[in-house]
Amino acid sequence: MLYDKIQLIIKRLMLAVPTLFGVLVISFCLTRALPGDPAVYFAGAMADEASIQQVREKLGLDRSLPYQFLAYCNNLLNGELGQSLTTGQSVTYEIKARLPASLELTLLGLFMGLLTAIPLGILAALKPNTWIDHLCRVLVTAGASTPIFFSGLFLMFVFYYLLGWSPSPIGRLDFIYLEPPHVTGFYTIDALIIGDYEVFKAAFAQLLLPASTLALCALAPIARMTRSSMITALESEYVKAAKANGISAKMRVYVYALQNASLPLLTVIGLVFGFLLGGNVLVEKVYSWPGIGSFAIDALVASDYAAIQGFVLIMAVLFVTLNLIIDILYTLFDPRMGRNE
Amino acid sequence: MNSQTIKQDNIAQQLRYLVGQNLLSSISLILFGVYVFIALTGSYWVPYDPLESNTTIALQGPSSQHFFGTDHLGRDVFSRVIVATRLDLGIALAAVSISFFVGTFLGALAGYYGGWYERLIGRLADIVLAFPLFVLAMGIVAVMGNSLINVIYATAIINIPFYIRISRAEVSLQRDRQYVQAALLSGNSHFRTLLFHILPNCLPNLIVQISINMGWAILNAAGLSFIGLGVRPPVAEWGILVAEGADYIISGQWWLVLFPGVVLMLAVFTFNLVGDTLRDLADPQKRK
Repeated sequence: MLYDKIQLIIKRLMLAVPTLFGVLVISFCLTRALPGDPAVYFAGAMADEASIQQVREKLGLDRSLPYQFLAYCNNLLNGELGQSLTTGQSVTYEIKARLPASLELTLLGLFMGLLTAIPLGILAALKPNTWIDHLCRVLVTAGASTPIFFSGLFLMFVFYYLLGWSPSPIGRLDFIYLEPPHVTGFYTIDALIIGDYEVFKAAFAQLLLPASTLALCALAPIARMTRSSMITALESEYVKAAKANGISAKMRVYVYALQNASLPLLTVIGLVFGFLLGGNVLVEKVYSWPGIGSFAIDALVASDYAAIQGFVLIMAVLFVTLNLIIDILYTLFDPRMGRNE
Repeated sequence: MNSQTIKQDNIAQQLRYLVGQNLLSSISLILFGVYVFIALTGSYWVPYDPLESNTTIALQGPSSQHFFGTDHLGRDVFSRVIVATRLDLGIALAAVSISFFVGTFLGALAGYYGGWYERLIGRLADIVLAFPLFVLAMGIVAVMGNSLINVIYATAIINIPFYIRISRAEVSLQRDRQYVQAALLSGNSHFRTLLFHILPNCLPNLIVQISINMGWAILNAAGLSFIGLGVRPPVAEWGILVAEGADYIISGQWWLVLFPGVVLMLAVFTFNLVGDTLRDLADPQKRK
């Protein structure tokens, strides 16, 4: 049984290899599909013929495409993503410095989304066609139709301008606070590590609105999936059998049904994470959040190609990795997997 | 027997049945009509020129003269929102048409012929879906150049995999049916059979996807122009209108963001609901 599962997991890992390879090929194409000659571009505006030639050789642009691709992969393995024109730093450095800000936001958004969507979905499934089910449906449809930048601005208007509950919605920390020493790069966690609750509260208050915006976006698909898979589970034979055996309603819902409904949920979480990585860019723009999304937007405006390509690649790798982890968890949790192999 | 009779009903009867079933469906169909009407005729009846600025009346709230208020240059927000409808729906329609034709064609070939070709196409679709789609669209626009047509292409590319998947699945379900054998036996070429006999039978599910995709495409294009890609000011487009208003939201000029945002949201909402309605129409089990 366990042996079968390990075999399945290895199979799944092998399946990810061609996908990762494809991702690499596409990002390589993105680097080579620049309008005009990349060498001229990377040499800068003041370059003469000789220095362009030099850059061409340095980038390997005079070699064959397969060679260039291998060189590109080799650079990636060394963590080399090129030089950002806007900041003058290496793209790897920039992304490393800014990734924690984006991840802190995205993960908190996802967590808040799960925390509201799953109970909502369960309630809607338990009481179909009541007001809670209708509320769930309205939220799901509205959530799927709301542009994330609009909900972000709306929350900002209500909670900052009208109610004044939220701190000034710019950046990760109000300037009167010093940022906590770097451990994880997550300001909230770093502040907790040194036990500075003041800074923790400030950082968390800054996080709350942008994370809620992301949570609103994540809410819809998760609630919809929870509701439908809970309804399927509750109507199933094993729940009926449990009822016939006198197992309490609470136990039936939270153990028998929810456990089975949690598997499709896992898949949806992977999907939602993809939305959130994209939505993150818009939220970072709205809240001037110094993550990799706003870095990418600055790079886009300045036609800073190396930075954009690095950004797209990192996002794709993050997404593929998360989906892989989810697939592995799925294999581990689902007792049916590996039985018929 | 029952499904036979329903199939023979005309579409108008089916629609009437659905409308009776579901109030939301009828609302969505009405809204859909309103949006199409605005997109087609909006620019002829807006009260003001959407580009005409008049700084003496800048940043005024909604009034009987300016229903949605005026922006920082004194332009009439109502006129700009109305005029933007054609552009936004146009972008979405163009992008969705491209992904529909390309994706359906590739997927249909994959489903029909199978083999290594099917694996290749399926793999390609998987790879595109391995990217967070909005991020991929950003990358494509950045590399191909920041222009409206490239926003359309990028939106089209990220939606192609969905059509590939649907048409591949549908065609491989249909290809062993007897009517396909009959078509082939009566002398149709494989290609002709695929195009004129099999694909029409796959259309219902594809049309549902088109409607849902229209909503995504509108969101995607508005998101891209919100971060400064594609359409550029002073052209009126929903994403840009919200982006322009974003600077004024913390000083309380809410109408600049609210009206274009709500109109945008309602458009996506409409297409999603129409998609749900069409899905019910296409699914005979739900119809009963």
